[in-house]
Amino acid sequence: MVRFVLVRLALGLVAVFGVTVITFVGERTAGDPTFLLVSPQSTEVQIQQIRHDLGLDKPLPVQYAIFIEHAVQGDFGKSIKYDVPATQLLKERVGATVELALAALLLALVVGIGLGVIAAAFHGTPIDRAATFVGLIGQAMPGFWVGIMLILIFGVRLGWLPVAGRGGLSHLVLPTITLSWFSTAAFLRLTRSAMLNVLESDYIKLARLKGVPEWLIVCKHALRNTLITITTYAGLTLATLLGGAVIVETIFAWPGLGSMLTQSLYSHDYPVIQAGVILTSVAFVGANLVVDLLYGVLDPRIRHGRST
Amino acid sequence: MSVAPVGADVLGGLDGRRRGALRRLPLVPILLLAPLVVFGVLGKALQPHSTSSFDLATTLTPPVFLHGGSWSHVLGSDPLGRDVLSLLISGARASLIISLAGVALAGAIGVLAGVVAGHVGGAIDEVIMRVVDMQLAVPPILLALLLAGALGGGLRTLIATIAVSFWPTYARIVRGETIGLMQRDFVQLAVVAGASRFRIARRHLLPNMLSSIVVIATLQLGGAVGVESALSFLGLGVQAPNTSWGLMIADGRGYLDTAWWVATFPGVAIALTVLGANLLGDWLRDALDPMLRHR
Repeated sequence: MVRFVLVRLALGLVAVFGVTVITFVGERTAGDPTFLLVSPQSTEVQIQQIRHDLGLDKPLPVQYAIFIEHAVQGDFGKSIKYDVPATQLLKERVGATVELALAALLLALVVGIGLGVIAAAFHGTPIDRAATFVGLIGQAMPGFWVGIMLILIFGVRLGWLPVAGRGGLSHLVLPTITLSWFSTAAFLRLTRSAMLNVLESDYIKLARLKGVPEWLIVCKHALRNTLITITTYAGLTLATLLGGAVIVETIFAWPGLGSMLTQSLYSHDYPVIQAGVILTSVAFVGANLVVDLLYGVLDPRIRHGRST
Repeated sequence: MSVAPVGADVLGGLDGRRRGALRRLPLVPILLLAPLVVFGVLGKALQPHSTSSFDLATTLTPPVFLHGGSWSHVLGSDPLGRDVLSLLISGARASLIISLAGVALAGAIGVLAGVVAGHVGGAIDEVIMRVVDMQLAVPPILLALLLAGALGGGLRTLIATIAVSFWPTYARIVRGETIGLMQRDFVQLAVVAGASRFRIARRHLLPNMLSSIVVIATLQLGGAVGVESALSFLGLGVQAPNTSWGLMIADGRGYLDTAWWVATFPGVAIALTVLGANLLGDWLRDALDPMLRHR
């Protein structure tokens, strides 16, 4: 078990390392942040001086080595645009993203599992077909478009809910629905098919023969075993939501990591992009690892003997 | 989020309908995907209006079923006076080309990497699988953003981004199938008979995993359409004056209070297309390769 965790951590570290290389080379191919600090009156000498101060005149491998040397000491550099440490910007923003992602996960779990259980309990009836249809359509709709349609209906037409920024609970509603949209549909379909599998097993048949009421069979006997599948998927979903937040935050001007990352991409603010991507990929790797561990805990039939 | 995680659709399905599925043609998916293919291939010939010329006299005309609409712009017109239906038809071409080319490229890279990893093994296998693992270290949409940002917008960028984001799924599954097939008698016999590695891969391995590859590719098509539209929406994909459904939604976003149809119809087009691709993938999986749903 310890060996499994250590191997996985090492592999995760290698993966995060690879991601830093891609990010580093990618963003330096994409553009130069010098323009953020240059005025139209700047002379060529001044521009060269700025590039030198930023360290951008050094060869790429050297820049990367310097970046890694500082990064392992927790120093991700200063934002070129805001002139404050990138880690400080992340700290200010991470709370908003976590809030949004957790709210979306909660909504997806409640609605997705709820509808999935109902669909399975009424297997083969119009209720089941309606739920299946909702799941299929929900997964096919692009999330950013769902967000815009919600803005159109509840913001522009009805005027019920705010469509931008972060504030009270009302600000959270539309971004949460948008972010959870795809995952809700995924949970619905997952819960339904897992429930149907479980409902066919012998111990359920035995419970029925014993005369246990059907609602108790569905809600207790079947759902508990379905939860193993659902829990593991929930971990993966949290990681997916962290990524999905990039687009949702942009649409709703939500002041989180995602909107900061896209803004930094447009302005080529290297240190912020690097720090943000590393934080996201560490969270992603961590969530994947926790999922694998949970899988072993929840289902004792799975053993982590092998490393892959 | 809407952008389907690569090969995400191993979850739901058509339980109990598997038997005899091959005999029944999937009518619904075919109908849903027909517009994409027909408009994508024929494109300009079917457009009621040109999308490259502006007509300021007809800006923001409502669709025909609303007050003030006319049959000349069935689905209304956009802020530049361009016909929304014609834009949708022209956007189908972008979606078709980009998703097909992206998925095909991803398949080519992934299958090659998977066969090499599974067949050669050793250090090469280790290296390839570590690269594949990187897919698990960064959210797909973030990777796509980084790549699109680095390569600059446009058709080629989108294809490359989809290929880079989607190939690991093939590599993982093809590697597994290769290792499984290598232990089978007919492959072992070919090895004993002195067949070259290339010949074994071409004659014995690839034909036996074709159905899995086709199923993954179809399931990924919907995801590719989603990635294309999301990146174009963010301004990192298809660039004006070219059109794409994602770009139309971005354009319509500023006119929600006066012209809801500009942002609404392209989203419907994306949803129906992705639905068609997902349903076709589910059908193919059940018909060709029922084992794949458990991976």
